[in-house]
Amino acid sequence: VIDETDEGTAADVTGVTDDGTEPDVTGMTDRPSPDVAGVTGGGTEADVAGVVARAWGAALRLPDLPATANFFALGGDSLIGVLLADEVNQRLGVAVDLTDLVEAPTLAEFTARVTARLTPERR
Amino acid sequence: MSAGVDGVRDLAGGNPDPRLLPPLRPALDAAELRRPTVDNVRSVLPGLAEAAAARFARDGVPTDALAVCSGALDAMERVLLIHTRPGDRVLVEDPGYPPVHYLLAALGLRAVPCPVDAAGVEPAAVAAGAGDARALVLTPRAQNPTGAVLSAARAGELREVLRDAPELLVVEDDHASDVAGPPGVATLAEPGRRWAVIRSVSKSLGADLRLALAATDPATGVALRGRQRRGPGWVSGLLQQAVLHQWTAPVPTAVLRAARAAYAERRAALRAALAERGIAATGDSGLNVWVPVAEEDPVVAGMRAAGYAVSAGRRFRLASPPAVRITVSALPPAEAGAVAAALAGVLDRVRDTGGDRSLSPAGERATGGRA
Repeated sequence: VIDETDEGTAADVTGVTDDGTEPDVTGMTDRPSPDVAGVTGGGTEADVAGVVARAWGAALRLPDLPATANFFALGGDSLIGVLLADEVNQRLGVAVDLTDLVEAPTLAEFTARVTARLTPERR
Repeated sequence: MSAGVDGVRDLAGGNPDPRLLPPLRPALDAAELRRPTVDNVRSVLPGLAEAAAARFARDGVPTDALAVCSGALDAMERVLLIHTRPGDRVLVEDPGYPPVHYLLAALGLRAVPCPVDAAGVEPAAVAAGAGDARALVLTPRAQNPTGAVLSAARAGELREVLRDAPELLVVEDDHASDVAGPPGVATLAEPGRRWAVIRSVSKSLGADLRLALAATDPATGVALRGRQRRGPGWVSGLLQQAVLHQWTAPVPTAVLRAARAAYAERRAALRAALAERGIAATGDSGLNVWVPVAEEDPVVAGMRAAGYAVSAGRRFRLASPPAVRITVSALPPAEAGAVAAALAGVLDRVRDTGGDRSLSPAGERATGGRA
């Protein structure tokens, strides 16, 4: 029996999502970290945009998302959003969260927000 | 309710106690294929329309226009699509129901957070934002996550504030109506305004029925039903008949009364146990109790170690301070003391070790993506 939360996502106590997929909804946890120049300094905004776009694509399981892609219109929810934010934070050393996705729900807006959070030397 | 397979009791889900949902089989047995259309416009089964109108009218909600939608969020999306455009600002409760925040984001609407206290959304925030906003979405009872109930006095204040914003759409998400607790409910709906009062049966009859009644101002009603007709057409008459059966037959109506009483008892038991230990909490209605904390993660982790899964408040919050949500729908009153004792112990430990962590609520907000 899968307990669902009241927002329709599977409760994380079960570790199973409501569409029957494995708990690793980002599909990213066992991939090696890409060589992100931005993490070690000297990266460009294009690198950051690429990292964010790849994280979104993996989280939503939709490659080649346009800049206008809207996280919630594409079915994103709190469970996927928390994992996505975690992934972006780990890759880029920033601190974004689910609220940032709510406030900046398109890929372009979210990328701009992440870029703004990077320390100047990382930008 | 039994403990989960790993021995952790789930107080995080926010769902009704499955044992307090009326049995479905008799309702389905009584239903037959019957399109709920008596003319070119209506999409509501006549008997259900009458029953719903009586319920709305009892609470002072005008019943000139009724629609049946596929759940509260379907009704909300349709009403927002009629009256808003991408980029518009919408006043929302903070904390509030995450899928509402996500729906606004998906529609390209900008959520403007308005604080909630035990009497509902705060008028000062609504007054400050109403001039630039197209809509206000509020939860008149069983506010999720805080359990707040919109008081009659607060409704009066809000109506006063909204006089200066006659074009503002008001959407009331009365999602738990039948089992929320208070027998009546205040409303901001009034002639001359654009409004929708939405009542889902998810919490009372089961989320899988996918059905909500919406009372609206007449113009919104025409637009809502018109667009619904171009899309899904109507909500299946089978489901409408099932809901009507659950609202009128003796057994299900008795179960609904029992459910309302049981949730009230479970809320009261936990709140009393928390108060005994000096823990402040809100939750006058609905299925949840909301407990403000300094930091969410250590409290959630500590409760889990103590055998209880509670929900971190983060996903409900936009700019409001940290808290945890405890779902009481399936928590027997006899166990409320144990939950309160566990929480008191966790809060003590977090307080003892939290001094040199300098993780203020603002700091937690900044690292909030880490679960």
